[in-house]
Amino acid sequence: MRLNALLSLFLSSISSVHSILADEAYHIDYHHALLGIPQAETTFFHQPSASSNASLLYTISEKAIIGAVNPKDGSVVWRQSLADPLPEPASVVEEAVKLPDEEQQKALRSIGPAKAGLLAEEGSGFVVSYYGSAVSAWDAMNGKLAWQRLMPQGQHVKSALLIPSGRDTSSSSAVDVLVLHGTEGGTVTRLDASSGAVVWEYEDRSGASPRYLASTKNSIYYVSEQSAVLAANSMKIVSLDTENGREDKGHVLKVDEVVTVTSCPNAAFISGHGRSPRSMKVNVLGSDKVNTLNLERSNDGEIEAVSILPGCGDSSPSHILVHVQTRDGAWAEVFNIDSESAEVRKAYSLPYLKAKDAFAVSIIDGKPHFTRITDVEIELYSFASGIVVARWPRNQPSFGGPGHAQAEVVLRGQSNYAIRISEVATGGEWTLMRNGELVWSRPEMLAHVVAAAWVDDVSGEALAHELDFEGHENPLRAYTHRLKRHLRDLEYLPAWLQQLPSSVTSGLLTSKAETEKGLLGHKLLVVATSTGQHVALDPAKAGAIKWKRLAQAASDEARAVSLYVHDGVVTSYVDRLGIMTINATDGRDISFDQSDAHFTGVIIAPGPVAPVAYRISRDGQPNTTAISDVARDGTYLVTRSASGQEVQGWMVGRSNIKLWTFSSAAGSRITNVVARPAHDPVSSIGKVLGDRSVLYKYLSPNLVLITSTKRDSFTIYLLDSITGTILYSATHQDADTSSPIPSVLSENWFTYSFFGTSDAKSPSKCHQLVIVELYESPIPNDRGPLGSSSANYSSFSPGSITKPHTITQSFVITQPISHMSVTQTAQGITSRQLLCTLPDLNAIIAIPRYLLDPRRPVDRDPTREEIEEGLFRYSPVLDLDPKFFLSHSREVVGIQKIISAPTLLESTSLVFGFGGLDVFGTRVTPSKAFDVLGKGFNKLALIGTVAALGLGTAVLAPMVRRKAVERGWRL
Amino acid sequence: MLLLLLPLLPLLATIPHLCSAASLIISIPPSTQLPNPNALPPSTHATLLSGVAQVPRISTPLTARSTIEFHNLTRPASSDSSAQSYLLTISALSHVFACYRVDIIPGGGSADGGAVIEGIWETYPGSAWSDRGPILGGKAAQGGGASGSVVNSAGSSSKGPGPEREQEQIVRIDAKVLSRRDFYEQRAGFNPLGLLMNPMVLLGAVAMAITFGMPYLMDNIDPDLKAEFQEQQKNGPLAGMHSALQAAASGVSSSGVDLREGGGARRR
Repeated sequence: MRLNALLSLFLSSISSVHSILADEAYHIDYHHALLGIPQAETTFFHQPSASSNASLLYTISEKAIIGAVNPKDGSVVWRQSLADPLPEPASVVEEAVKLPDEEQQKALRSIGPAKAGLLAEEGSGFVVSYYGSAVSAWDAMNGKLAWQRLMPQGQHVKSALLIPSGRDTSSSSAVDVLVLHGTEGGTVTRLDASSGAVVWEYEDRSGASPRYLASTKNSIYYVSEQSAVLAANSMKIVSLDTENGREDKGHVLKVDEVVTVTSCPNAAFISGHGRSPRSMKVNVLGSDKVNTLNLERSNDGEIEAVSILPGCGDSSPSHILVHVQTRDGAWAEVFNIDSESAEVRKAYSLPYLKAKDAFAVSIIDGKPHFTRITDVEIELYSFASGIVVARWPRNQPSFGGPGHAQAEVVLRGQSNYAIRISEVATGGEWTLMRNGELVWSRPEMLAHVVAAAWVDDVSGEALAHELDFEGHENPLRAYTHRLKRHLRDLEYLPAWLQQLPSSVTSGLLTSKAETEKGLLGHKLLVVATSTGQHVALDPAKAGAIKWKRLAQAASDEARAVSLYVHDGVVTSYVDRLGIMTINATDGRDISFDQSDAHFTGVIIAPGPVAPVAYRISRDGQPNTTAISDVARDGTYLVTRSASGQEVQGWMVGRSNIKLWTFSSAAGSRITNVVARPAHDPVSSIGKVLGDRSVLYKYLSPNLVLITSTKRDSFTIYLLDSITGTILYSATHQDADTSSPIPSVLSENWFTYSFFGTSDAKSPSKCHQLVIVELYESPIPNDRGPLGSSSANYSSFSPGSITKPHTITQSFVITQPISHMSVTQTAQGITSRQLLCTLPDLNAIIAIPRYLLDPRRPVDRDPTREEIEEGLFRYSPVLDLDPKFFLSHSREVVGIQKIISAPTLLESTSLVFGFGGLDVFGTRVTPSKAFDVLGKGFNKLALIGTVAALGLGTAVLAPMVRRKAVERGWRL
Repeated sequence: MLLLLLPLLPLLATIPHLCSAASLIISIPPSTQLPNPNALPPSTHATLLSGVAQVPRISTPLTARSTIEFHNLTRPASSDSSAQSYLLTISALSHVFACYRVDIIPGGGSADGGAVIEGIWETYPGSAWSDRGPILGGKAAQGGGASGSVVNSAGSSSKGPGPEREQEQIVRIDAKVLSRRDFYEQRAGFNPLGLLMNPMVLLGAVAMAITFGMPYLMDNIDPDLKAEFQEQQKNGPLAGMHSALQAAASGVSSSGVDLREGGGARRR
C-alpha cells in the first residue's frame, strides 16, 4: 500500500501534461464518422458543380443529418445537423421542469413530426433541405449555409419542390424553391433559390390541412386534406400559376388511406391505395379521371407493401414503376402515364422473384432504366423492352436484405453498361457497388448505438484456472497436476520450435503497433443499437467490425438496451423484446428468451452461483427474471423511478426490501443518478502532503450522486446508498436547467458542470466545472471518528455514518460539457483523467485530474511544501488546452456516453465514446506511458550503442591488459 | 457560384412577421491567426445562450460567405424580464474566438414581441458580466462613436403579398480570432547533442581522453620532467595506498579502526 502511495505520488509528479503526439494521432484512435441510416427519398447522386463530372452522394438520414459522401471511398465530405439549430417551441424546453399542459400538447401534436426533404438541381451548386420549420440551402461542395429561412413558429414544412425560375440565369439561379408549410390552411411560398427571398406567396384560408406539393413544367399543384368531419379521406387539389401564385382551378378527389404524390416534368400524379393494396388508384393532377390499377397476381400471397418509383424522362409519356412486395417475394409493374388524356396504362410486369429486392431508376439519354438489386445479383432492365440488358453477379449479400437503392448507369457504345449502386440494407449498412463489386460500406447502424460493453479475451483464462487449482491443492497433487500439464503442453513444442526462427526475425522487424496490441490485451467492444442489433468492434484494428448481428425481430422503435458480458458471453436485455445471449467471439446466438420484458434499466448483482440481472420497472421496483434466481443476501441496489420523482434504496436477496426513498422536492425532478464505476480501484487511502503527513480520503463504495433540477436552480446530493443518509448537498441558483448537468463520481471526489450565473452579486454567464473532494477529516494524520479504535463502526446503521470533510473549488470553462466520465486503469495507480464531451466543438477532451485539485492555493503563490505536492496557484478560468483533445482534429459528433476500460498495462486506459451519432475510440496514458517503450524508442540506436560499446571493449581490453602486465613488471 | 450569390445578399430577408425583429450578422475577417476564413470547417457555428431554462438556445451555422447570421431575433414570450442578455459564443474546432455579450430589449416600434439589439460587447470568461469591453454595435452604439457599424434598414425586399413590414434592425460585427488550436505535440526525436550532455557519457569521454591521451602526453613530455613525475608517483598516493593495504592485511595500521568498522558493517 505504501509502495502504491509512493508510486502514485511519483506518477502525479511526472504527469506534467499528457498530450496527443503528432505521430500517434490517427494511429491509436479510430472514428466512424456517421450520418445515420439514409432515407430512400432523400438519397441521391448529384453533381455538385457544373464544371466537373464527378458526383457526390447526398442524403438526409433518419437522424436528420444532411451530408455528402464521396462515392469513391465512402468518406464524409461534409455533414450538418438539421435538428440542432431549430428553435424549438418553448413548451418543449419547459418539459424538463413540468410536463406540458393539455393545450400545449395539442399544439405540439398538430405540428406533427418534423419531415425532412432534400432537393437538388444539376449545376446549381447548392442543395436545398427542409426539416421542421426551416428551409436551408447548402453549398453542395463544402456544406456551408447559403441561406436559411424559418417558417413562423409552430409551422412545419410539409413539402418542397424545385421549379425552373424562368429568369435570366446569368445573374440568378436557374431554379426556385417552392415551399408548403402551415397546419390549418397551408401557405405556398416561392423562394428565390439563390438568396431565399420571397417571390410570391399563396395562402389557403379554407382550414384544410396541407399535405403535398407537385409540379409539372407548366403548373403547380397544391394538395390539402379536407377536415375529417366534412369529408373523410378527400383531397382538395388546387393548381397554381407559376408566375404569380394565383389559384387557377381546384377540384376534390376521394382517395384511399395511403397516398403518395409524384412530380414529373410532363405530369404530376397522386396515387392511393387501401391498407391491403390489391389495387391502386392513380389520378393525373389537373384532370378528374381516376385510373384503377390492378396489382394482384394469382397465388402469390398477400401484398404487404407497395412503393412507387417515378421514371420521368423528358419526353411524354412518363413512366412509373410500382414495386409490389409480398411476404416471400416481390415483383414490379410498369405503367405509362399519358399526360394528354390523363390515362395510365400498364406497359409490362417485371418477373416475380422469391427474394427481397430493391429497385432503382436511372435515366439514360432521357429514357428510364430500372435496376433490380437482390442479394445475389443486379439486373438492369431497359424501359423500352422490359428485358434485362445487363446483369452483374454480386460478390457479397447485403446486411439484412436490400432496403433501398440508387443507381448511376453509364452507357458506353451500344450495349456496354457500367453501373454504380448505392444501397442501404435493411440492417442499416450503406454500401456502394461498382458493377456488382463492393467498393465501400458504411456501418450507419452504429449511429443508433445505445449500449456498449468490453469483452475480455477469454483464451488465457483456462491457464489461469489451472494455476489457481495448483495453488490451492496439496503439494503432491499440485505437482502431479503440473507435471501432467507440462506433458500435455509438449505436444505444442514442435510447432512452437518450427515457428521460432520466424518469430525471432519478426520480433525484430515488426512495427511497434503489433507489439502494443499484445501488451494491451485483446479486448473486443460489443455495441447494441436501439433497433436491437449487435455489432462487435475490434479496437486493435481501428474499430473494424468483427461481427454483426441483425435484430431478432424487426422494429423501428427505439428501445432501452443493457449489455452484460461474462465469460465471453454477451447477455443483452432489450426492452419489450427479451433477453438475448450471444457468443462474444463470433456473434452467434446462444439463446433468445422472448419473455415479457418491460424495464427502464437493468442492474447486474452478484448471485450465489452466477450474477443475477434485476430489471427495474417504471416505478423503480427491481425484479429478477426467475423467482429462484436471486442475488446473494445483503445485496444493495439503488433505483430511480422513470418519472424522476424518486430514488429508492433496496436490499435484495430472497426477499426484496425497500430501505429508503429519496423524494425530490416539490417542483423539482431528479435528472441524473451516478455511482462510482464498478471497477474503481484506489491505490492509496490517503493523500501524502508536502510535510509527509497524510490526509485520509473518504472512501466508501456506497456513494450515490443525485442531481435534482428545478425551474432555474439545481441541487447536488451525495447519498450513502445503504442508509440513504445525505452526506453532502449543494444548491446552485440561476442555473440553466434546460442544458445537461453532467456529473461523475470516482474514488473520493466528484465533479459536475453547468451553465449559469456564478454569483447573485456579480452575475457572470459562464460554464462552470465544480470539483468536490471528500476527506475523513480536515486535519492531516487524523482519521476522524473512524480513527478511534474503541468506536464500533457499521455501515448499516444510520447513526454511525460519518459525514466527509469536503473541499470544493469551481472553475470557469469556455465550453459546455454534455457528458463526463473518468479513465480507469488496472490498479488505479495511474492518475485519473476526466473525460468530457464538448458538444459545441464536436470533441472529446481529457482533463488531467491534477488541474482540478480543490486544494490549489487561492490568491497566493503556493508554499514550498505545496509545490512539492504538485499544487499551483488557482486561477478561475480553466484553460481547455487543445493538447487535451483526445479527438484532436477529428470532428466527433453527438457523443452521449464515454466508457473506459483498463488494459494489461497499468499506464493505459481504453476509451470509447458513442450514443448520438458517431463512435470514437482511443487509448489514453494519463501519466504518460511509463511501463511501455514509446514510439521514440529506437531499436537500431540501442543495438548500435551496444555494438559500439562491445567494439570499444574489444579494442581497449588488450591495451588495459598490456598496461597491467607492464605495471606488474615495474613494481 | 458563390460569386453569383454575393450581389444578392442584401435581399436576404426574413419571412414576413407581425413583429419587428433584429438581425445580427457576424463576419469573420481574415486575420493573422486565420488568413483564410473560407478554410473554417462547415461545423463552425455561433450560439446565443441566455442561461435561463425558459429561453431556448439559438444556434446557427457558418455561411458560405464566412459570416454567421442570426435573423429574426425576438424576445422570448415566456421571459419574465423585459430585457434578455445572451452569451454569444462562436465555436470552431480549429480556432478559438472571443465571447460576446448580446443584450436584446423590447422595441422596434411594435407594442408586443418587437426586439432590438441594445448592444454587443466583448466579454471575458471568469470576469463579471458587467465587466465588458467597448461596445461593438447595437442601439446603444449609435450615440457614441463605436467601431461597429449599425445598419438600420427598412425591409425592402418584399416582392409579393404579405403583411406590411416594419423597420428591421441589422447589426454587423466582426468576430475576433483569439488563437489557433494546435492539437499535436512533436515527439522529441533522437538528439546526439542531448546524448553528449549525459553525465555518464561525459565521464566516459574524460576517461577515454585520459586513457588514450596520457601515453601520448607522457611520450611527448620533457625526459627530465618525466623522471621527476615518475619519482613523485612512486612516493605519491598510490605508494601510500600500497603500504596501507599491506598494513591492513597484517592487522596493525594507523587507520585500522575505520577498516574494522567497515568490516563489521559488511558482516551485519
